Amino acid sequence: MDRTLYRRISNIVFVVLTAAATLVALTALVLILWSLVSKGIGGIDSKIFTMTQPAPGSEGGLSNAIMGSLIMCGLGMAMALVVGILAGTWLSEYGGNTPYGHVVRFLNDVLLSAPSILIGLFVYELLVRPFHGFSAWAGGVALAIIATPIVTRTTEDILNLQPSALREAGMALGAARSFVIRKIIWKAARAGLVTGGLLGFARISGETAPLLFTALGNQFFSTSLTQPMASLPTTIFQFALSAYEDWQRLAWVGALLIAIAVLSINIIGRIIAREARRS
Amino acid sequence: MNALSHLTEDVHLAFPPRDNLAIEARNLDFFYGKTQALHGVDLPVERNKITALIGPSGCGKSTLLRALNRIYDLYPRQQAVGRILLDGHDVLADRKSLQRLRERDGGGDAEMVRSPVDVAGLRARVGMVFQKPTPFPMSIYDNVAFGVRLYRRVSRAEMDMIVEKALRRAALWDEVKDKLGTSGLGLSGGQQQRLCVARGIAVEPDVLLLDEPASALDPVSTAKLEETLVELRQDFTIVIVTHNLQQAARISNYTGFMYLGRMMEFQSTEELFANPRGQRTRDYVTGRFG
Repeated sequence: MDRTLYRRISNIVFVVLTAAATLVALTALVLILWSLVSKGIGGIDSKIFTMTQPAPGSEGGLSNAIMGSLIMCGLGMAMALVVGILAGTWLSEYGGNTPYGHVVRFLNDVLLSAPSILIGLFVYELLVRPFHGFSAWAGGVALAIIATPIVTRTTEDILNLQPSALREAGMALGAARSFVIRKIIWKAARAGLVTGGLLGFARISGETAPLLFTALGNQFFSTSLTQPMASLPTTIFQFALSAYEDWQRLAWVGALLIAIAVLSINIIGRIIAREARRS
Repeated sequence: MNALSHLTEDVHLAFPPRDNLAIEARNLDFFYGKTQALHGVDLPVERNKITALIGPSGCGKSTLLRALNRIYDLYPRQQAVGRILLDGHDVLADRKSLQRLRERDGGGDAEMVRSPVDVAGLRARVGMVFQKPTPFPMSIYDNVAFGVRLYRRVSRAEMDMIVEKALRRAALWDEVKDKLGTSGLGLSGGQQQRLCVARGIAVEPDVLLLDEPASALDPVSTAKLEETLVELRQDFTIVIVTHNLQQAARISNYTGFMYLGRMMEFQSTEELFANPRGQRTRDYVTGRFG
């Protein structure tokens, strides 16, 4: 066969295949979003944010679950940011090329893809059983363990992108290494660090499995860190599996709320990253 | 070594008198891991003069410059063996460097006073400007104040004066005096490089090291930077590495030609360009290789 003709045909076949694959992926995404919006949008009203979850058949909202999600995600991110940024900084600036550094990086990558239900069980053994009770603390720790490797990874990647001339320029003025990292390198990388934090936040805001074993869920409004706490994912899990139609409707609303939150966090992260690249 | 012995026959060094040196490298070896990049280099730098280092890529001129303020310390696999004297104090006199010197030279020169030096203090007295402009991600004012704040606590009014003086001496003041609070990253490349010069001289060092400072700049910015350096010679001692031979000829008082990690020729700049002694120097400055 003519060589050019063969190439033209194989090119067309390949383009059609990749386009079809893209179409499949996009269709799935659009269908999910469509069913979320169509089933959830009607249920959004002020009661969702002001009333706690109802008994079947009575009026109510999701305020306890929204508050619980915010508290536990905030708690988890606070821990994950401290540990993750310090660990990522160590990998990038100090020990990344030592044998210990390679081990740390490898374990971090393993943790990055660890099934979240395992993390839930781990924290159950660590914090729930010894203290004889589910608690928001345990939920926050489980979420922190999921977010930490994400923050560690992005921190290391972002810091590695900073030019070594910047470090040398700081050192050349006589500043100590740690001072250069804190005052110059972190500052130069701040947009990337914020993006890493937002990615971690987006990831844990939808996690269900690790919370089932740790914070359990709570049908009442609670801000106590030592008590079980409700969260959007666990409430969705509970309501969606129930037989009551009004509960199922609330589950759709909760799912839509999470989707909107994750989407806007990702968009904000992208905008920040792009602004930083421009300046 | 033997394969390179012909090099030692072509060495012509006419160093300035030793009594007015700001900084001096003596018999300096430098290693990147196991690779030796400098072989017994001497570099006396006369006070309030501009000393230029030229030579083909990889000849060791940047390495020599980076040894003078020990910036190579950042990288654990790089090490210098020899002496670098700043006012008679050996900046390589920490325990590890001394150990390496003893291994190389034996215990033969104990008469030399070797006072230990702290690296932060060394870098306060030996400033450096890099090939690419490296403004810090902060305001123009804070860029210049950064180094000063490391060593001294000064009032706002005094700091204002220090910043203005440094920017004036770097010939940048008129261009930035109305936007000191804006980011240093917003300046043009040439302005950024002069900002780095201002940042370096704000701490009043004795010596200013410049590593191809104009290689990323356009001709107009380069000319401005060169003017600035000639002005600064009154207050500072300058060592500049450059690929640009005209630049070395225009602004420097002394020029050292390096080749394969050795100092091949060192003369007053006029002499070196008008009447190069070595064959290799001649070939290089006339553009026959490099």
